[in-house]
Amino acid sequence: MNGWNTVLAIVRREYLTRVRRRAFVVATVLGPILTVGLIAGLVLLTQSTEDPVKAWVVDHDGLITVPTDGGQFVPTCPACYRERPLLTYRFGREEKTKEVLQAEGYTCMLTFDAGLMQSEKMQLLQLSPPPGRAKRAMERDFSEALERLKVRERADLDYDAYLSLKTDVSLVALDIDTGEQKGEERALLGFMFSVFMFTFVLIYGMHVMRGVIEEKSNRIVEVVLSTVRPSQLLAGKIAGIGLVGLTQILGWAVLSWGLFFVFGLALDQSAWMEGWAQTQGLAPEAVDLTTVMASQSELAFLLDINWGVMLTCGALYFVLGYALYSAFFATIGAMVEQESDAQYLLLPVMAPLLFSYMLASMSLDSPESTLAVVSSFVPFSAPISMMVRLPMGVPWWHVALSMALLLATTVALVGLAGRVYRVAILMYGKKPNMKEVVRWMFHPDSGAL
Amino acid sequence: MSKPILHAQGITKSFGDQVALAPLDLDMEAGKIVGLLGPNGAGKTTLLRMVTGITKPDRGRLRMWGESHHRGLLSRMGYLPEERGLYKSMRVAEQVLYFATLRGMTRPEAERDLKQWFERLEVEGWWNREVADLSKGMAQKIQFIATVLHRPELLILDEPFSGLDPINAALVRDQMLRLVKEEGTTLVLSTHNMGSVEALCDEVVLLHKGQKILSGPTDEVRESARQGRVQVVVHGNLMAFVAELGARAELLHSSTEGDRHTLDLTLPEAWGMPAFLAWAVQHVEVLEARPVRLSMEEVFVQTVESVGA
Repeated sequence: MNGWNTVLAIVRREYLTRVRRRAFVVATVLGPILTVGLIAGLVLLTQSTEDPVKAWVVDHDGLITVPTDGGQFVPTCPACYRERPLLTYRFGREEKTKEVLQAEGYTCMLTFDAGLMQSEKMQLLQLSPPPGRAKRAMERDFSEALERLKVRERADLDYDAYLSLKTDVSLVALDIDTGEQKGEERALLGFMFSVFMFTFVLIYGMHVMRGVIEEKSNRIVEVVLSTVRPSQLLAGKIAGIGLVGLTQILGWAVLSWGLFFVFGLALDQSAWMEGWAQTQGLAPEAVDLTTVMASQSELAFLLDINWGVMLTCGALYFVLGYALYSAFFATIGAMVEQESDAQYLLLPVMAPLLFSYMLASMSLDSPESTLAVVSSFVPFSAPISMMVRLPMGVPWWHVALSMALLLATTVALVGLAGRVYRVAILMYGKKPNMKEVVRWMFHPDSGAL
Repeated sequence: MSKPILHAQGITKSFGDQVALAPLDLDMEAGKIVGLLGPNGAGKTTLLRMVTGITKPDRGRLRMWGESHHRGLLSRMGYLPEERGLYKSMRVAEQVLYFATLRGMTRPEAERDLKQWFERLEVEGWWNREVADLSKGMAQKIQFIATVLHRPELLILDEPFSGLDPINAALVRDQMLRLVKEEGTTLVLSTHNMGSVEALCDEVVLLHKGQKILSGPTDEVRESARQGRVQVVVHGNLMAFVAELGARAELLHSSTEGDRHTLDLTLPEAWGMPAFLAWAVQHVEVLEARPVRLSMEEVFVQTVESVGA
């Protein structure tokens, strides 16, 4: 059997035994469903647990309310206090006791006098603490009411004219060459990619280590090595398990896309979409998920991202980064006979991985900082750091150089790791020390036939 | 002389400062059963790993089937190491077929032969079972099948009977002998079980501290190592005879059955069997006398001890 066929047979075994496992199928299918379900569940849960707030507003000095004929009080600006399921107001001039509030179904009482205009503070006496959303809504409502009051009192403007003059400057960052928009949301997307990268390299690197330990501890490795070279076994194992990782990524991507599609269809049919279309002044038939996304600045960038480049680079960086780290994981596996012995050896491998993950989270704020750029070239951190930069638009030669450096380092280190692996894998009853490991790397023995 | 299958000349192997194999010369012929013996740490595993291509000699020449050893020859061998295992997460047949594929068999060919082997070793119902469900003895039989399925010309078995009950050990032994007799397989048996060496091996090689200290056809080795051992059956006064024998010869063992006394003696080199008998008949009636061959175990202990001393 020639060398390639041997490696392919090993890849096949490593791949098939893993993808056939129930745990793999469950994780691949349930991963996206669980993630989406968890987020949806959380949103639903927080909404359903929010108790509606009924506020008794005590306007001592008649600042924002006027009496009606029936002895009731109504706000001077009814439009400021929109009726919401979560929050309703009733107005008056007199405070109520706790018992009365309870009896009349109020959950809190807001009190203020004319001093509010200066202090911009009002008192919230709560029977039960209102949810954050209700609190923010109350702050917004009363700010608007006071603003109207101030505009009417101090300027010769009506409120609409004031609103049209009110200015809120935001920065739109553009690339000087391409004129493409860059934004923090893009860096966030990159960061999510690098979190995936970190997780996958770690999970599948550990798979490689466990696979090597299994072969060593149940002593099958000697039988295998009487037929194949250690380098073939190592290459086959790393490639096979890497393919399992890619299969899982592909599975998740397809499923996520499917879920997104189904979600979009469901949304198109939903009453929410019709309502949304009306608020935007659009015909409901002309609206789909993409229009919704395009109208939201937080989501619009997702439509501009070059997903082809993103996913291709993501896959390439995964393959190279995984190969680099899994060579180390395999070597550690070869040096021990059980997983618990591997703990202290894992630290030097985990350190660069964790470090680049931390760097990536730091470079979120400034994806073009020197630190972020340099770390996207350093092979150990490149797969993680470059992913943060990629959605912002990176010169092609940065990506090419970074990948070339990573590839060269991977090839060199897999070679060195292979030298340690082939000696350590046949060593039982004794853990090799650092001195021996270094000697095997640089003064290899005669090796296999 | 039949065809040489293995020819080693001055092969050595060291691990760091530790010499595992001193310069070693070794020849093996095709179609024989060769016992590879030696105490723990003698260098047997190191030698077997070189033959099976897992490691290379530091120095020396190793020729197999008349060629300088190379990886292309490895599929002509089957190796069952002493410490052996199986992939727990695979099914039995799938696993054996995997090894057969690695050794160059096509899948249909391997499946056909595997069915025959499952019948021979009486494990028919285990084709699709998980390896994790196998008992130790059952796993041993599967490992044996995985070693022989690709029809190796040279079969290297390290402690093949460990973990097998007597019935299954006999089943495996019969198959080993069948392979040698019917298919002309050469068998190298590395074991501490001297009984099986005596029963099976045509030749033995005894290693100690990385050196070959004894080798040759099993009968010759036992014969040449007997060193004056005799067994005599006498009739007469045993006490007086033993007293007369005194320090002339070493009495190893005696037993009495009625008025027949059986004695195991070691005669000094200067005192041959005829001279001893001429002397003995003067004191007792000698009913029987024969030179005794040492058991392989005795040869082993005696040789290793003499080298150690």
